[in-house]
Amino acid sequence: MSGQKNSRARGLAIFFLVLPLILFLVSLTVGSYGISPHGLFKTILSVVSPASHPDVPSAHRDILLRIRLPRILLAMAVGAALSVSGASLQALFKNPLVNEYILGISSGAAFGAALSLVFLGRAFPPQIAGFVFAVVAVGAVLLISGKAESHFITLLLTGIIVTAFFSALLSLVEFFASPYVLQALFFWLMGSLSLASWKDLYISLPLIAIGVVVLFLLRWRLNVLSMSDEEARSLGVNVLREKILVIAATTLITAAATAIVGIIGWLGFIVPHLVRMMFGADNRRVVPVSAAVGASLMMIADDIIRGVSSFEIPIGIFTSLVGIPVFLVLLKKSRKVWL
Amino acid sequence: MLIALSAFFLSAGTLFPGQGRTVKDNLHRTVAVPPRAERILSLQPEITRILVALGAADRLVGLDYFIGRNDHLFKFLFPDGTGLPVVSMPDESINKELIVRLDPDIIFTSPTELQVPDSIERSLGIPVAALASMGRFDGLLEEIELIGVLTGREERANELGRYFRKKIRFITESIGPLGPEARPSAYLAFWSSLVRTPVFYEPVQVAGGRNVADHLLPSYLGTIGTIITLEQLIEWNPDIILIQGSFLPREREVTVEGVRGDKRLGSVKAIRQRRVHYTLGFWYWWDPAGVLVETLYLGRLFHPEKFGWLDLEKEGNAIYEMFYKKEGIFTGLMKSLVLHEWTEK
Repeated sequence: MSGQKNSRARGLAIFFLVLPLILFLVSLTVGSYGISPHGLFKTILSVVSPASHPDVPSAHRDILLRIRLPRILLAMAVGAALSVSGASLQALFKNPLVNEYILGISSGAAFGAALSLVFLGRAFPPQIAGFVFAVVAVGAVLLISGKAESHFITLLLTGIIVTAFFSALLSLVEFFASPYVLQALFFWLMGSLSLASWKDLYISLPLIAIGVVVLFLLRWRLNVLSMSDEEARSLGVNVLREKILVIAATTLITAAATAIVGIIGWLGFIVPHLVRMMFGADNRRVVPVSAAVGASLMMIADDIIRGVSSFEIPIGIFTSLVGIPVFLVLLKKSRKVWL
Repeated sequence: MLIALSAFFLSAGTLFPGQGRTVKDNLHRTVAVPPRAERILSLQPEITRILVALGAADRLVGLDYFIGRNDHLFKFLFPDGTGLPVVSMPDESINKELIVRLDPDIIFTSPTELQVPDSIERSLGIPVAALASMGRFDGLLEEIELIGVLTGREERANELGRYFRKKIRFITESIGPLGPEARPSAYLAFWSSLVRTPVFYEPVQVAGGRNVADHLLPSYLGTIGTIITLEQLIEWNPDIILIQGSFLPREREVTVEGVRGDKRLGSVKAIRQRRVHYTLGFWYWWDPAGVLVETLYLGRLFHPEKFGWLDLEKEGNAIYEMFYKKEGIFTGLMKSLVLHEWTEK
C-alpha cells in the first residue's frame, strides 16, 4: 500500500518536473500575434537554417526569438526562483509563514532597485542596489529579532517593521523622483514581464541560476536545518555557515528577480505550500518540485495574460488576485500544514 | 462604447439661479459648482493652464506638485505662480490643513486620482470636480467654458473656444475627406513606457491619422490609457510610432533612438521606414495651445503633401501668443525639448 503511494508520489513529482518543458513549448504558441503551430515550427526551422525557409515573415522570427523566448524564460526563472526561495526560507526558519516578504528581502530589493532606477538611471543595473538593500533588510530583521527561529512572533514583528521601514523609504524615493521617472517606477512596481528582453536575462539569469543551484545543492541540509540547532550540529552540519548560505542565496535570487520584473506577490509563499500538501515536507523533493511548479504557474499566468486579450494585466497583480483565493481553497480543503 | 464610457459629462450640467450649477465630472460624480469662484485650488495642470490662458490666474490659491515644481513651461507662462503653495504630492497625498488655510471656493483634481475628490469633499465640505479633457477636444473646450463662467471670463473663454474650433476646422478642411486607407496608422507610446498607450487621442484623428489602439478599453475609470503587449504592436504594424515628447530629454524613459534601435520591433513598418517621431502628448493632460500646435504638426507628419507650406514655428508661436499673450514661447519650448524636427522648414 505504502509502495503504491510512493510510486504515485514519484509519478506526480516526475509529472511536475516535466511540466515546465511542456508549458514552455505551449507558451511559445500563445500570444496576441497569431502564429499557428505549423508556422511556429517553420519559424524555428528558419532560425536553424534560414535558407531553407525564406518565406517565413521576419515578424514571426522577431516574435519568437526576441519577444516570446526571453519573456517565457524570464517567467520560468522568476517563478522558479521565488518558489525555491520561499521553500528554503520556510524550511530554514521552521515556519510555513516565512517568505521573502516577511524577512524584508522583497521590500529591501524593491527599494534598492527603485533607488537605482530613479537616481542612477537605466544604464546602471538595478540588481546590484536591489541585492545590497535586500541584504541590509534581511540583516536588520535577523539582527533585531536575535534567535528568531525559536521565537517566530519576534521574527514576524521585526519583519513587518523592517518591511514597513523600507516601504516608507520607497515612498520617499517616489517623493523625490521626477514625475516622468515616477510613471515608469509605478509601472515597474506593479510587476510586469511585458518588456522582457535578452538584456534582462543576461543580467538576472546568472544571478538567479547561482542562487537556485546553491539552494538545490543544500536541499538535503535544509532537512537537517529544520531540526533544532543542537540536532543539526550533532549530525555534523555547520549550522551558522549553512544558514548564511541559504539566506545569501535566497536574497540574491529575490533581488535579481525583483529588480527586473518588480514585485511578484505570493508565489514564494503559495507554491511551497502546494508542494508540501502534495509531497510532504522532505526538502529533497520540495525544493526541486517547487522550482518546477513555480516556473509552471508563472508561465500559465503569463500565458493567460498574453493570450486572453490584447491589453496586458501586470503579472504581479494577476498572481495576487488568482493566487490568494486558490491558496485559501486548498488550505480549507487540506486543513494541514507540513514542515 | 469606449467614448461613451470615458465621456465627459460636463455639458449635462443644470443651472440653479444664484446657486451655480451641477456638473458631472469624469469620475461620474455630481458636483455642485458655485456661480463664481474667487479662490480656485487647481490640482489639475490642464485646468491651471486654462486659468492662465483666460487671464484668471490671479484666482489661483494653490497648485499641484507637477505644475508647481516640474513643469518646465509653466514658469514662463505664469512667473508669479512659482510662489503659490503646492498642495498635492506625487503619491496622491494632499495637505488638507493647507487647503483649509487657502480656503478655496472650488477645487479641481485629475480623474486619474480616484480617491482624492471624495476624500477632500467628505472631510472639508469644499466642492471638488475631477475634470480632464480625456484626449477629446470637446472635453477641453467644455473645461474652458466652465472655467470662463466660474471666473467671469466668459468672453475670453468664447474667444479662445472660437479660435480653437477655427484652427481645428482649418486642419480638417486642409486634409479634406479621407477614407480609412488614406489615414496612416499611428501607435502612441505615452507615460514613460513603450507599451502604455491612450485608447483615444483626438489630435491623431483630426490630423488625418488612425490610432491603432482606438478600439481598446482604458485600464480603469479616470484614465484613457491601457497597457498592450509588444506582440500586439507588431500585429498592428503601424505606419508611424509617436513617442511622448513633452518631457525634457534627460527625463525621457522612451526615446525615438531607442525605439528605432529596438530589434524586437524590427519588422514593424514604422521602424523599417524610420517613421518614429516625438509628439507632445499629454503633459499631465493637455496644454490647450500645445495640443493645437501638436495637431498641426501631426497633420504635416501624416499628410506632408497637404501641409508642405506650413511654417510650424511661426504658427506655433502665434497659437501660444493667442493663449498666453507672450511671444516666442513655442520657439523656446522646442529648444528646451530638443524637437528640432518640429521647427524644420
